[in-house]
Amino acid sequence: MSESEAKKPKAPISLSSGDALDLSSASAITATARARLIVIAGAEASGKTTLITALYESFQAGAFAGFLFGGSSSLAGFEQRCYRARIASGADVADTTRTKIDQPRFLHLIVRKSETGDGRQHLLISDIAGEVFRLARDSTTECKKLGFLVRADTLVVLVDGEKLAVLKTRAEATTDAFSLIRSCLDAEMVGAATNLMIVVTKWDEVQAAGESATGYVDHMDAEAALRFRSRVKRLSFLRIAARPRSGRGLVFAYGCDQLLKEWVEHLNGATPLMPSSSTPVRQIERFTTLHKAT
Amino acid sequence: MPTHHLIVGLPGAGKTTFLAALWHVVEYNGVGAGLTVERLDGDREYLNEIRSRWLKCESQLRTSTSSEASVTMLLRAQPAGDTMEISFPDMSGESFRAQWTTRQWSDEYNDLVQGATGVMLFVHPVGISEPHRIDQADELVAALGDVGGGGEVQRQEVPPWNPDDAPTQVQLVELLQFIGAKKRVGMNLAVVISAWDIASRSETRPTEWLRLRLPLLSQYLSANDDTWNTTIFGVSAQGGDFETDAERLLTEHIPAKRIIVVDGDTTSSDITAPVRKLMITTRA
Repeated sequence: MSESEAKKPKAPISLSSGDALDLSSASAITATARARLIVIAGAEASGKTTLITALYESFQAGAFAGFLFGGSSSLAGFEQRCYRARIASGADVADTTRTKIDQPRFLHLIVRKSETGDGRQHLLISDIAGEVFRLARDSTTECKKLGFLVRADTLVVLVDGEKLAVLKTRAEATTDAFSLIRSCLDAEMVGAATNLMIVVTKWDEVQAAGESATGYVDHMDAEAALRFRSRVKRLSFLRIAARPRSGRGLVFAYGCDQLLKEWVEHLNGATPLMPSSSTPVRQIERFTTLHKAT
Repeated sequence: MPTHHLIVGLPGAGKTTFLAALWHVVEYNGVGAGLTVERLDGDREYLNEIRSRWLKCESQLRTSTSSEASVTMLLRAQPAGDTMEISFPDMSGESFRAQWTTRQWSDEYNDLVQGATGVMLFVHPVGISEPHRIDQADELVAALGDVGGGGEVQRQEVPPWNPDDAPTQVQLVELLQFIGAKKRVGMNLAVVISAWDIASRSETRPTEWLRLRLPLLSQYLSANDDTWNTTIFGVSAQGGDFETDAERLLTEHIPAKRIIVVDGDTTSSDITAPVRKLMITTRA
């Protein structure tokens, strides 16, 4: 090596990008830690990204739902998604950047029970454009392309409360959600090992619409139970208002604490994304499954 | 066996002021110093320069990336205890902010991280960027009598996201995550809340202050107590505001007595306390 080469400053060392993870990066996390895969599905503008940001924003103020924030490999990704709802953006009205139709992305969140100090739990939460799920709803072939669904510990199907609040659109909102679930079941992308959550978003809109709307949601839950309970591992229903309108009497991230608890606490016994070292074959199978989706 | 420690903090966090006061105490062997210096390798001129400003109650000049200095001291625990060689790179806060914004660090810093056994993380109570949400402001406006909140969401053009705008606590968590990702063993961490004379006006302890003002960082440290063996200190290396309290501070015959160090319920003038914390054998 010449003297000039020896004196040449070394190139900076790249650190993790902090962006939302692609399937490859998500798999890298599952290779080193027990992680749960949460797939959030729903129509365009049903509140998928807003739900994710509400969870993250809640930890900004302190322990949430009995959990401590334990870190994240996608801090910058969370920040980008929160930006339009922050004062620092200069926006007048809180908003969420629409998710692009792109490769599936995952936000990584580590939580730890605040009281018992139990082990850290890694969550990989999908942020996928609604258009992708519309295609999956309409076509078994398209649904089968979503290979990551097979690995989902929990499939969260969002039903847009804003549409449920309006007589003209509520039936269609329900039908769309049920069709998506049915397509996923028929394509065998979800099944007896999957926790299914049907979550009504923008609950403040439903409440504001009155008893007719809230009663309809009860009816929808009953219908869903009849159709799907026997086909999945666990079926649960929640109402949330991730970012309720001012004056509606609901707190920020209303219902999201219960959602997080369900993801973490009711998954005990579910198959982790990264199995124990005693099952190497299945570990490879799962890794492959994740990559098939790309 | 020398131990190496990192001094980490965003711009204006009080790193240089701390180092100036520490250098004075360990070199001058001031009151109740838990450590004294036996030997110094590095830029004595730089240390003397920042000490001079500290002694005269003059604010430190902002450390630029071009004026970064690394200092290695052989320190002896008092009274007549063990010696330990420790090194501190006094890096500019801009260098740390750049780690968050550009997602890279220098090869030299990477070596420092690899060899470090402890970290002093500085935070300053003034200038913390908090994650204020628009809906929180809406609530305040509504409470003041504006009904608001019922209109349709109007999408508007906003400037693209700039990582500089991220909350302070998010940036600090990421800086620690960067370090933690390079280490396979736990590390001692001394969190130094600078300008404690300002921060402590609400009569809280350092741990409580961190929980209230930087809750995400506080949670992260609690949730990762196997990675970070953390002690939180409130430190006023100046002893007060140089703008308003300089006259009172200058009348103190022993400059080291200006210093305020709070560790839990204990208050002292021993600025070596956070450093001694780093010298405790790190858990594997």
